[in-house]
Amino acid sequence: MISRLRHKPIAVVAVGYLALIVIASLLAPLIAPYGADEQDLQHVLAGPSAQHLLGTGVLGRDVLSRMLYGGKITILGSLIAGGLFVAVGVPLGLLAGYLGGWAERLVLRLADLIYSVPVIIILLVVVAIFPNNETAAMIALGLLGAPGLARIVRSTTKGLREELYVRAAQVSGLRAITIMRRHILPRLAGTIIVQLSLFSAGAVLLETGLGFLGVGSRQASWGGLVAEASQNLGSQPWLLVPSGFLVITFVLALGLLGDSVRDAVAAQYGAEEARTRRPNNNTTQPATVDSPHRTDALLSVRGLSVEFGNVPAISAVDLDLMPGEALGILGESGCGKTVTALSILGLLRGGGHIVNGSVRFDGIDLVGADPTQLRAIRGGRIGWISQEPIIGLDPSFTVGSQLAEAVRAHTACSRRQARRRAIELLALVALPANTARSYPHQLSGGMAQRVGIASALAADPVMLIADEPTTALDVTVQAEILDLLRDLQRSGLAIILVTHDWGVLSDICQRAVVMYAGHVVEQASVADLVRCPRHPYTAGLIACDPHNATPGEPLPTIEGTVLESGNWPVGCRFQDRCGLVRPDCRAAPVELVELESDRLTRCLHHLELNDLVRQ
Amino acid sequence: MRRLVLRWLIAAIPLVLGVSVLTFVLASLVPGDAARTILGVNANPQQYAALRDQLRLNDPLWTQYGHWLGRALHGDLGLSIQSADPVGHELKGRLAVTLSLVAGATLVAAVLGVGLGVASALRGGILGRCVDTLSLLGLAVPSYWLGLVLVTLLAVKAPIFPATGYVPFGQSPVQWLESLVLPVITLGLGGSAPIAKQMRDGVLGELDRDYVLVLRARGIAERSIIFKHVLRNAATPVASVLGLVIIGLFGGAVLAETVFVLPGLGGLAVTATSGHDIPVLQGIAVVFTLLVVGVNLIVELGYAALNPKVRT
Amino acid sequence: MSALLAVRGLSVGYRRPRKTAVDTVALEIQRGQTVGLVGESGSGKTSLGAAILGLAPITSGTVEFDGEDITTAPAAVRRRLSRRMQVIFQDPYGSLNPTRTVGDTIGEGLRYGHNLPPATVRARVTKVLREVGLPESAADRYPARFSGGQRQRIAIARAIVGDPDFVVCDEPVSALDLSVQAQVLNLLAGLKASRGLSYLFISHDLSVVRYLSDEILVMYAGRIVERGPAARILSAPEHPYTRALLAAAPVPDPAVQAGNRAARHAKEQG
Repeated sequence: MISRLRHKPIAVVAVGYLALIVIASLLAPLIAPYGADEQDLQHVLAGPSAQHLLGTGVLGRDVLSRMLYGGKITILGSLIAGGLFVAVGVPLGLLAGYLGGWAERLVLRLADLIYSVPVIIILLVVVAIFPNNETAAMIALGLLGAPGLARIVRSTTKGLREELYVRAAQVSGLRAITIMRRHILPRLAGTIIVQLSLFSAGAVLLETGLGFLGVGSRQASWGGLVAEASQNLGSQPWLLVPSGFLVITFVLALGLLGDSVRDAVAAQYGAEEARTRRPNNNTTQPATVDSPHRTDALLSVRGLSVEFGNVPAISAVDLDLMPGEALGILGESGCGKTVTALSILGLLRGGGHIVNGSVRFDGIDLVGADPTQLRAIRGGRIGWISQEPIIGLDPSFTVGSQLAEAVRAHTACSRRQARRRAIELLALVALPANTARSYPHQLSGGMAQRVGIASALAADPVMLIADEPTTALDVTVQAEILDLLRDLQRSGLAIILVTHDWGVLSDICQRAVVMYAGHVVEQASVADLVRCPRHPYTAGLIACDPHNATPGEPLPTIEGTVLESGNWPVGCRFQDRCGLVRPDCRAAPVELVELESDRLTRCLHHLELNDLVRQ
Repeated sequence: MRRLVLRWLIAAIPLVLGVSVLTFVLASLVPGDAARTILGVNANPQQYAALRDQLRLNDPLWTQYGHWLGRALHGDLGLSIQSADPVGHELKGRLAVTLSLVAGATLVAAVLGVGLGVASALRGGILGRCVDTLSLLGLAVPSYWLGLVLVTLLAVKAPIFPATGYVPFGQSPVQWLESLVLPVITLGLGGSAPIAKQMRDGVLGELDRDYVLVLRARGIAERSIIFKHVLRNAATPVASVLGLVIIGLFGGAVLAETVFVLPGLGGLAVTATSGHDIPVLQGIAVVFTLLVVGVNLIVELGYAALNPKVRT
Repeated sequence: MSALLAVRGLSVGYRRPRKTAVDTVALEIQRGQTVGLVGESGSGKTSLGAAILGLAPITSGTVEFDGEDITTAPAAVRRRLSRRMQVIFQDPYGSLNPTRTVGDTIGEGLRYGHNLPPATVRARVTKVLREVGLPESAADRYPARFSGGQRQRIAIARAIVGDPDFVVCDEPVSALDLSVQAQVLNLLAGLKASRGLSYLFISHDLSVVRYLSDEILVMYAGRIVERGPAARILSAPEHPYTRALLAAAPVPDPAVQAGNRAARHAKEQG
């Protein structure tokens, strides 16, 4: 983490500035031009001059010198408070988090208690009892802040205890202390530093506040400088500037340091490092003469290409959906199937944009369509179901109100009519009417997905795009949802089903396209895909499905791993994993070729496939 | 809802008692004792003994506390050492001032914070950076210093608002308002920073969620998505931040009332500190705790109103 | 010869929220045997695996490993057991500490649990990396550099580096793509053969369980509702839940699936 911080300019500047102030304050007796209380009655309340760089106060005392001497008090005070803050807060928090039970409850109650009083009042009480005793006040401050740190340390520790790598370490027999040292403390260090810098910032403000109120130390202090300024606003308002500047920049540096540490920790433990995405140097698309859109298709996609930034995600995707049919898009993760589905409706996120191609629906091209037209089609003509049913619903509204909202988005009707339609929709998906009053978090996965389907059908669309609708569900619930989709299809709804599961594909879809590395590699009826595939990837995928396996014999596998987008080679993208690869596969991009009607493949040597499969 | 209030009451009572015990114990650490403070150094030993008896200073500590608590529950918080007036009387007169100040500052902080936060999340760019800078400055700029700057600019250099002093509402509503403008802005600006930051983070976070994608896929208007759905969900954690900000504002009131010479509880706390007037400070601590605990209840109720997972 | 692992009358219960996850379960695993544990979410299969490893609160019953009662084993005993009993988790992204190198993670148990010298640990890590099909250089890299399938191999390497006899596999391939899943399943099968390992293979996927297991246990609502040899369970299930589970799982062949579906609907109506 230190190395990460070294690369952040803000962190470096902040640490440097703080160090500068600390050193200057320590060296005050050596470098200050005047004594802290040295009076110069010739130059009272003077502005900046050659003799007094930052001006003078009401008794002619040099401001710069008082700033230098005053630093010691504030810095010492913050150290005391910060030291206690960590020394008491961390062990309390660790105990509470790791042991749980009564230790945890005690710490939480204590933190609640302390948080309920404005700290400054308690500090005033302490200062009233120990007059002008900064140390006492700072000790009190540290102790008052510790439970807050304990609370944060506790919740981090508690979360970390549940991490799988901690459980694995427990199974491997590591002692609790060792686990804490290896897995929990390193992560905590970042949190503690962040909280400490925030706390120190607040401590400096409170300490100078006490000085300003005149109840802090009697020696020269930053707060005292502000107090002096406040008493002379009419005659020398300039005094506000140096005192304020110092406090503000010091606290700012502490705060920025804390922020930088927080970012550095988050980057270290956060999601995977973004893999280096080199722009694809192969910019030539396969030279398909864009075959014309099928006029009898409900939805017709030609040459669809999508990029994120300038990294391609899908290239030259073609597919057709006939009225009333269920078309599958099958592939493994990263193949671009979800990107394809999202881009049909123009719903790409995270910097994705369509760079080429057209999507014909209802006589218009959805790519580049007018936003009002697009909004009318979304939900109104084309419905969408997402993979995670509960997360796809707004947690703050009831099921009924969300269904009614979906109805009213496309149909002009009163609230009562919309409510009635919502109940009808619930009946359509075999849910009882009182589901309308439930909130999403009260639903099971299966119920939530039914609600999702009902919501997608609210405006009576003619087709549905379902993105892995059953992946998150148990297999018995999945069967029910698939039955429901099939019934809907029988009554005329066309479906595009995105999935990775051959079983689901076989259950619902008549035809399917198989995608690999952003390309459509094969298109056929599902029966043909399964019985006699015409692309090595499809064949390989079917072969390694455990359904087709013989227990005791090794599963046939596809060698190697999927290439990252952006690293796609010239030529066939499957070349490094294919058993049939030849020089011509690597030489030039491979086109999608029509074998028979409705049967496409992107393989030059598909005729040799039978031999491979038989092996 | 009723369960929530009950749970809060069960938690609040030990809280208030705890604070009173804390201050009582701290007060008992004072070198010397109250009797000597009242009578002075050259007191007659007999008078001294009698007063000690009268003030029950010879009883064990917890008995003294019990007596204090008993009287406190009847509204008798003892006598101020400095003024010899009943503490309760002193506090009552000043409560309205502090409440006006904190209420006004809360309003400013909330409106400014929510407005800036939402605007910067939706517009981004310069406004976003503005909010980031404001959050950092809100953390770093001392409220008392900011108040002094405002006074210099808007009261001394250009006499728009009164520099100090307070006019009760009953006497003149307009002047009451004028006397509060600068202090309220001082406190409110600082308080708006964490609210703006949380609101902005919240809105940006919600926009990334799956349900927003689904709502767009349903063809629901973008304006509806933002103002009906996103804002509602982003507001929930803001409620907790608001609670913390209000607690901070009560503390900031101490400093603001000193800068602007407002006759509120905060200013009284400072003079009591200089005068070692423990009974007054005790009373203020208890009152502040009650106020803060009350605020916490309202925040919890607000949170429950926004978040159905807590209600059901 | 006694069973390697014997569980009798085991119950697992949590307190907040109050829930009985496992209800009086008994099972035995012999040396070199793979027992598959199948169930849907909420069946208790994960809690059962966790309880055997000492990671879940056991409310009654016993767990015996190689004749030794380990139900309430203290940390020192668990430490000794960890040489013989190990675990592979489902989540390839959460089961490796992102700030530790792969070699550090794989060798952690040997180095910090059993205090073997670094050189010995390094040699064992290298050997085991080769066994799971990863290059030696992987030991010095961080998990972020590897794909899901590769991370699962690393997790397997960590499990076998101490030469265990028994491994609890908690949904080890559920988060992987089909082609990657096949590679990892082959690896698991290969290691079973070459090292004579026993597995408790927990999964919701019947076809995967059938491929790898000798015996299958079906769990529902915390209880084992059916048990028997893998082939028999899948070809002639007896318990209604097992039948429903089999009927619901879709088969990757449209014609066969259509037939299964018709049978399932007929049964639901009749």
